[in-house]
Amino acid sequence: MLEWIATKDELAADWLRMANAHEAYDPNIQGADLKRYNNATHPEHGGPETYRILYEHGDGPAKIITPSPRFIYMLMAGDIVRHARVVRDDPETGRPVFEGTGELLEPMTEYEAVQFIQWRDVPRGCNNVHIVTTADLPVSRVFRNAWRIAA
Amino acid sequence: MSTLRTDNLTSSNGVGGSIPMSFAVQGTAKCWFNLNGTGTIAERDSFNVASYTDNGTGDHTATFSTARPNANYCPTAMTENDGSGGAGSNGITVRLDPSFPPTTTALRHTTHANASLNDRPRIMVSLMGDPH
Repeated sequence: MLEWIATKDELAADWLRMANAHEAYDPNIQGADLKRYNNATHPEHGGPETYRILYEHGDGPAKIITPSPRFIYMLMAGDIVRHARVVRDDPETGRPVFEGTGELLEPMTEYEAVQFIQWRDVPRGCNNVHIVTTADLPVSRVFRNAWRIAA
Repeated sequence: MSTLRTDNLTSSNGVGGSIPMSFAVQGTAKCWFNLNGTGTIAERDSFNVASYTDNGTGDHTATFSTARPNANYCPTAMTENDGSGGAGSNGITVRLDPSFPPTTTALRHTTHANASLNDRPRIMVSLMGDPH
């Protein structure tokens, strides 16, 4: 896959699209009701179900990614986020090194947005990765550091 | 969308002061978020955040939706003192790890009561730095 060091111009363009999307945020895009991501209550306690991404990295406890509803909106709206993820900081310039096609992403569904966040934010090399909902998580965070992903 | 091109911003009556555009650009937050670090983890609101990784008790990573141009940024963080561990014993630490995740795309922070990592109900972080 293509890799490149980010330029000032492309980061400026990314920034402008993101800032404009912040203003245009519509939590009900495609009827998605993205405000349910702002409710932290577990479904067993009456909270709504939302997507989470589980993965393991090293010997530590299972990691759980919670998408930002504003970023899901940007992906569902389309033409805001590029197909690119940062793979490392360039040691000489300090700038981010991107990987991907660099193309603007077309509008997608909420689930497709979560799949993209999985590709973007789960570290490379993690194999035990799952998209779940909050209903699949333990109700209590007691012993959180002992959580592992069942086979 | 229209673009206003200017080098300075001045109040209309002339007494409210004036600032250069570089001040407005450099002096505004490049990321902020208010996160509930308990329960199933959820943001209350944010700017320039794509996702939050729950790494374990009191340990989270926020990923920027737009990458930062370098890691020479300045984060500030605050957490709510809910009284656990005694007054003044709660804290938050921002960790810049150059190996993983890349610092241009993510910011890791830990919250604690006394010397132990501890989930906090309100985690508030903002970040200043170069725009792009």
